[in-house]
Amino acid sequence: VAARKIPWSKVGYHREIYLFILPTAVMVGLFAYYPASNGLIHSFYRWNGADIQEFRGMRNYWELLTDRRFWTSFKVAFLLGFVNVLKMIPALLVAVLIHRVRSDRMQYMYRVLFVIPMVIPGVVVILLWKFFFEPTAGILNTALRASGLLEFLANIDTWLGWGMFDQPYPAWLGDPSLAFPALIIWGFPWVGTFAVLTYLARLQGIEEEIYESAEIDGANAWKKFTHVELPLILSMIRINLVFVILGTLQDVALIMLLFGDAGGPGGVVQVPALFMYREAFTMMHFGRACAIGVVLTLIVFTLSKVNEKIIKVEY
Amino acid sequence: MGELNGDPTAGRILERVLPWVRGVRLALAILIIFYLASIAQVIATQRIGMSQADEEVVIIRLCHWQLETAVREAFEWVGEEYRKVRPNVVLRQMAVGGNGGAYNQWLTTQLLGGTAPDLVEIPGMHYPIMVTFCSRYFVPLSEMTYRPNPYNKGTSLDGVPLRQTFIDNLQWSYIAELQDFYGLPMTIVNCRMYCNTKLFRELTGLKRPPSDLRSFLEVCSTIKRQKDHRGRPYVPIAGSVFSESVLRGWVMSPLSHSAIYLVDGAADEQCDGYFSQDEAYFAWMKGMITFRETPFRRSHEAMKRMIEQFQEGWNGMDRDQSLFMFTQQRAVFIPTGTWDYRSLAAQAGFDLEVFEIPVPSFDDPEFGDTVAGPVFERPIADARFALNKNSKHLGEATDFLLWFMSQKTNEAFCRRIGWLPSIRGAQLPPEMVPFKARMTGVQGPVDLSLGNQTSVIYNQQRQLFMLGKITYDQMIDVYQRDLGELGRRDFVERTEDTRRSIFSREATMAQMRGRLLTGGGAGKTQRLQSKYFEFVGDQVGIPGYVLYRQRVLEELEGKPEKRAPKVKTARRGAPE
Repeated sequence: VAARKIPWSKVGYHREIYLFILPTAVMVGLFAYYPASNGLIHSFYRWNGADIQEFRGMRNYWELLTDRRFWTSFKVAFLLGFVNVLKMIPALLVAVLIHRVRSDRMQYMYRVLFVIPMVIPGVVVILLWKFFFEPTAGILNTALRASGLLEFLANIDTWLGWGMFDQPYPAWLGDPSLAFPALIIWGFPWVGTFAVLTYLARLQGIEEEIYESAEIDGANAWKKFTHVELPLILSMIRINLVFVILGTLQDVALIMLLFGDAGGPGGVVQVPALFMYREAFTMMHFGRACAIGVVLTLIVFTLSKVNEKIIKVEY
Repeated sequence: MGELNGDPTAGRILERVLPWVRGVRLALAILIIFYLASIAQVIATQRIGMSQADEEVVIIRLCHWQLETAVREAFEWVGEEYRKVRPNVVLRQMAVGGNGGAYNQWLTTQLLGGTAPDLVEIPGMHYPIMVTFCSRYFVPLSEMTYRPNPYNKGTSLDGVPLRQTFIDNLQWSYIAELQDFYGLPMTIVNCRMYCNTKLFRELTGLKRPPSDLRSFLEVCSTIKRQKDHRGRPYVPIAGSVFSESVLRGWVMSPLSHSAIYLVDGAADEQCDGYFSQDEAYFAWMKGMITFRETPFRRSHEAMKRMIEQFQEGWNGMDRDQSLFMFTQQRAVFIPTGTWDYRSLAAQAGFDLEVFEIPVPSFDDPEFGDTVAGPVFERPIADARFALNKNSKHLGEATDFLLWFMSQKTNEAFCRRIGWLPSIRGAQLPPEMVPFKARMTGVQGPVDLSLGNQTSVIYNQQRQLFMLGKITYDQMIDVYQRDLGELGRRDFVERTEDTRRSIFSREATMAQMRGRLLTGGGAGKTQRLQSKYFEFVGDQVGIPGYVLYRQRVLEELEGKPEKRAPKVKTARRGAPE
């Protein structure tokens, strides 16, 4: 049934409909729109979250926009965002590989294997990685040393003069030149459960006839991927891309747990969300933190729009 | 069941709903059972320990952040002991971990919502925020501190005003902005270097660790040269960001204290023998100092020498990880406080020795001529418990707090958990004797930041310097680039907070004047009068200080060219 507009004059007649949506509307308004609008209002105040509340106009924004550290944090976030977008590729490839497994039972087993890690809380995963990165006893350095890869990296490092691997036990979380590479390595082999399962769900919705047509046209495995699968799961890729961008700009837990609230050695991995968190909960500048939130929202909104324009989805 | 009371619609609804209800009845039954069980559990908990159901029982709640088993058990014991004194009062503790983090957020929510416990352990937070917290949520304790603690009767503190029964005279509980005391401390904390005695002797062949920095560094290099059974070099000090913060107070103080002698002592404007954050900032703004002078430079360099004894990646590790490293015998030393002694002794499985943190001595070839003296270990009163203004049982909570802070209880409580007592005359647990604070020496270290924004930059740059990634001059260059503007913001922020408290103090003064006019007991009037004069004096002083600072700031603001580095000789250690 096609949706029809209800004219204002008939609203009273259809009041039951509005009564049905009222509880949801109240809840959404109370827990989503009220805090957001409250944050917007407080972004114009000097507010400590409790009793200090003084109107300061655009000063919070002005101080923020002229703060070099704030823009540096965006540079880190954009670099991280770029890396995170690249880190989406392994998940996509794994999803395609599972989809192409011929045995239903094996495919089911792989799906289950990907679901099981979902029960481990994200914070625990990050803390495990913190132990992996530990210089003398961590798995990463142990593996690098045992495989001789560390020596190889050290040689390249000496040749290029980066100064990243000049210590026998690289301090991934403590060395300013290794902090960002640590963020890249984090999550290896980058096959996020959620991404794999969403791609897989979309792949399984592709009709068998499309594959048969492609085979008649002489498409090999690669062409099937580029001409059939990739275009058909593009909507899912776009959704995941939005999540990745949002996550990169909004996530504070990863950096906090791995590097502490100073944003790593010398603040080299300080992201805008961490900047906001520190303003709010360490310095109690809730007003300024609200201003950061507003700026972040605008940037996320703009990026989402850009994403919509760039990635055209036809299916 | 086509119809229900003649209503066909209702009948149809029931026809649809009932099979569904039948289908999920097992789930519903389980839900109801667990719901009822939860209610029963809550009721049972409320009633626990009540001998008589009809007795009027008062439950006072106390919250703290110590999650150590020993501390929680000691609070349980305190509750049981107090019931012997007041049978109708039950103590309920709420241990929420994460001082400075989760605990603060939880407490803020509880206080804002009016559901906070009756007694609150004041968390670690920025000073201006603490002032707000105290003025808004906690009971001022001045009246109480003038009176003797009735629970000290029959002890050496019988008749002594409460304030004087504390080792620190409640110095840490006094909020100057509010002119009152908030929170009574349970313990005095102090830090020491912990040593794995067996490993130390095996690796160095020495009996005792040295107390001066130079000899200690030599011992550390001996340790570094040796490897464990897996071929990994031994680490002298298990370090973390926390360890660095502990060591700063000791290693840097004897050297940075000399900064008060710079420009013929003019930088120490308040002449209190301490170079405060404000004084350092204004001396820099006026061009009196550049932070490149010997005391600043050498104190950072001495600290760097110490940090070099940490394991690689120390700044990416938290306190727990460094403790783990120490208990795994991969490091010989760890700097930490009284609070870790019991748990470390229990977990370590090796002999622990505690000794004073090594500091540069007068005969040190590198730092000796800048050393101002040994470190004064100002008693840091901790675990401060405040009374919640909104408590429904304020009388009972106050009585409990007094009993809790009596000499006997404090001694017994601290003995149970291995803390240093905060009350005079209370006997130290034997293992805590090495933690006894040194009461003579110099104050410090000089903090180059003004808190908040400037602290973040200073800490980040200092870390890079400690890691050897930048030189001291590079650190100062970067720091000074932001110090002018961010320092101004931090200072203005603090000034605004101070000004706010001035208005609230004026209201309090009006109230005091009213009480003085309406009279009271002779003793009470005298106390009130002396307090009122104290208030007036401060009220005259603080705005004056704020205005003076503000004027200096305005004069200097935006005129960095005025900041010519003009440094006169220091009494100890010539500036560069």
